[in-house]
Order: sequence, then C-alpha cells, then structure tokens
Amino acid sequence: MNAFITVTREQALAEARVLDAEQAAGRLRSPLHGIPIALKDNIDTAGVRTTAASAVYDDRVPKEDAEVVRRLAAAGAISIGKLNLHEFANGGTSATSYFGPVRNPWDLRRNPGGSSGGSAAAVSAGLCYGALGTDTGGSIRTPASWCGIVGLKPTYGLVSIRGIIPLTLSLDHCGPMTRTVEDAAMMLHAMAGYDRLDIASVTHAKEDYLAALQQPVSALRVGIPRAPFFDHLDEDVAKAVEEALRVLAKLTRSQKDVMLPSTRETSLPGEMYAYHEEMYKRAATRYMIPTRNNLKRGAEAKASDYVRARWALELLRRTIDDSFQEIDVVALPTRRRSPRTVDDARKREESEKVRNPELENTQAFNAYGIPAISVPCGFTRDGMPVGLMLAGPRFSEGRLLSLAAAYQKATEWHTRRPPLQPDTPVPALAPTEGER
Amino acid sequence: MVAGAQSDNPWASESLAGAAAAIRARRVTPSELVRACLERIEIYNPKVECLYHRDA
Repeated sequence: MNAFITVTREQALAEARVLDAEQAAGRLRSPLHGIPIALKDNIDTAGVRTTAASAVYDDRVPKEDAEVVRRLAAAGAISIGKLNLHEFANGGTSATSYFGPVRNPWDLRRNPGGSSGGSAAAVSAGLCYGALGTDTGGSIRTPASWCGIVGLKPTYGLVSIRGIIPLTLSLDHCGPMTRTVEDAAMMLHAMAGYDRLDIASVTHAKEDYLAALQQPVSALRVGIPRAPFFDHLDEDVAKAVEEALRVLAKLTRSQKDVMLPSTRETSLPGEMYAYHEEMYKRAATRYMIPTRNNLKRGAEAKASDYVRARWALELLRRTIDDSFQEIDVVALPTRRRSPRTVDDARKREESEKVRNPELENTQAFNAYGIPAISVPCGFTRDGMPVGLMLAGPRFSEGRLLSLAAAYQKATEWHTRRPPLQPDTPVPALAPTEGER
Repeated sequence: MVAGAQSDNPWASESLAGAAAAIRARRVTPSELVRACLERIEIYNPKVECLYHRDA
C-alpha cells in the first residue's frame, strides 16, 4: 500500500514500555493511554524526519513536535510512524509522492484519495487505530470516503496547526481519521484547544466530545444542498447516498433542500507560494511536476487578487452560520465518484491542464471554516467505499459526532474491512514523464 | 463481518475505543498493541516504494 514513509519502531516500543508500567501501576493518562496511532508526514515530530512526501524535505528533521503531536503524546497515545501523502498535501489522490504513490487497500490498482492517503489506507487496513490527517480542500474527507473510514475536519482554528507544514494556511485544518465515529471523538477530545502561537487558533470553551456522542438527534433538521453537490453523481454513489438520507430521515426531525453560499471568489493560490518561495527559486526541479506547476501559478498570483479573496473569505466565515437558521446540519456525498487508478491519476496530474473543480464537494467547507465529517455509507458495485458528509455551523462538532454516531449505530458499513491478504498481488505502475 | 485483512491478529479488528477499553481492563498492554500494529505493517507495508531518486 505504501502507506508509511517512516516506521518509528524502536521509539514506539520504548514509549510503550513506559506506558505499560503506568498501566500496571493503575495510572492511565487519558482514554488514549497506550493507543498506537500514526501521523501524516507533514506534521512535525522532534528528531523524526518529516518530509511532506517531497525530495525538497528528504532530510528534514524537526527539532520540535507539532502542538497536536505534543497533546496526543501527553494523552498517552503512541506514534508508530509517519504516513505517506500527496506531495506537500497539494492534491487529492496521494499518487504524486516522492516516496511513490499510495494504494487503496480496497483495490490496489486505485488511488486512496488524498492528500492524507497514507493515513486513510493505514487506518482502513488496521495498521494503526487512528491517524492524523490535514485538510485544506478535502484532504481528510476524500481519502476517508474512498477508504471506507471516518474523517473529521474540525472548525477552522479549533485544533492547532502550529508545527504542520502549511499548504494554504488560511484554509488548513488538522483532524482525526479513524474506523468509527466514537474513535474520532476520542482523538478530537485530546487534540482540540487554544494555542497562542498558532495564528489560526481560536479560543473556544472546552467541550466533552465523548459525552456529545450520547446527545439525542431526533430534533435535528437536516438540509440537503442538492445544487450543486448532487450534480453528475455516479449512479452507485447516488444510490448509497439516497439510502443514507432515508436512514437519517428516520433518525431526525425533518429534511429539506437548501442552498449554501458560493465560495467562488475565495481562491488563494499565492498563499502556498509564500511558504515555498525561497526553496522554489533555489531548486524548483526538486518538486514533482504537478507541485511545480501549482507553485508556478502561485508565483504569478497578484497581491490585489489575494487581498480581495481574503476579504471575501472573512465575510463568508462571519456569515456562514446564517445558513443554519432553519436547519441544524447538511448531508451530502463526500465525493461524487469512485477513485481512479493510480496510473490515470499520475497521468492527469502531470498534464498542464488545470482541472475542473466543479465535481468537488469538499472544498467549500474549508472556505466556510465549519466542521465536516465523512462516514462510510455504502459501496459501489465494484466494491469501492462511498462516504456521506455531514457538516454544521461553527463549533458544532458535538452535534455532528452525535448524528454520525447515531447513523453508524443504524448501519454496518463502517464494520466492513478491505479484502486485503498478505499475498494480494501489487499491480505494477506505468512510468510517468517525471521518471523517464 | 470482519474480512481477511483483520483476521490474522485479534487486535487488528478492534476499534480505537475497543483497544482503549481493553487497556483499561488490563486485558492488553500498550506494548502488545504496538507489536500487533508493527507486525501488520511488516505484512502489508513491507517496503518503501521509492520511485523518485535524489540524483534522478
């Protein structure tokens, strides 16, 4: 699957021995005490190489842990390694990685989604109990959907992103990826909290996300943003999502079609370039071709366009809760299609053509800055998982987790695991331009 | 319900919450959980597939 870039075997076993002793003495640090997790390799770990899946950072060893890593370690979670991703988190397939593409455990010919593809593949295949992902345009929710697991992108600023290699800092989020909704609540509980040194961080009263799982959902009003999020749906995805909406209808009070505001004027291509400028000028060819092309576009971005987009983004975030006056949550497909093969994904990404973002369902929620969770809701006829996305107003994580947990209780999709065996053959890949 | 990927190691089919409950009940130790994960990584993620070399 190529899910891991680094496995920190000795370090994990050493930490486990300390936690064993504490357990034996009856001292548990938190509900996460002794739980093996893994971290997307754009999240800094002190003394452990952190590459962002790029040649540019081939030998980069951070001195400090990211704030979220520090919090999880304090809670007793054990990191067992660093997970592969789309180079610099800049793409939705994890096919473009200096360490080779990640495979989807449900079908090794296909991509797992991205950019947190290694995180989703590892959790789905049972290589760790939970993983951290990051999400700038769907990078937690897309791979969660395509690998049949749960992925939660919290409210912008709820979880610290200090010590995480930025993509577009104004849209970057960090969140948990797990097999169940309860697992995601347990991880979020340890991760959330204000960080003064993170310019994205916001103050918010501490919530008990585990208690939130028990909240009743029968009074919730569900909005369905059919236009444009249900346009051109794959037939099997449509079938799974409509069935999921019928299940939700039984659990909740009402359903009605709604429209969410447009995010068209909020693109910030210059922000990625701001982080990479010096390295890009010095050694552009060390970036893979798709990332290099995006940075070239970023370099051409005008400051005045950036400022206007940033103003539009601020207004959108201030007013987005207005869309939740007559509804409590929205429900929609996480992705409208199943993942392509790794070969197809790599070919498309190396072509200069700018992609059509119209089939994109995840990105708007990064602009809104509101929480969104993807949960497994069925399979296509060829056995690929389908995800349902639930989103709510700012800081409605508890509400989303309660509804997602109720949905999971009423269904069994999350209990299915990929048909992977030790001797499952790994299909060969076609060489790309960059490799010739 | 649990398919092939999970059947070789009993801890692999547990959710995070299930593993946490087993830790609380002292049915398993953190070291045992870490070893279970490392074993599965060796089986399903045995090598780093490095397609791009620094000198390429």
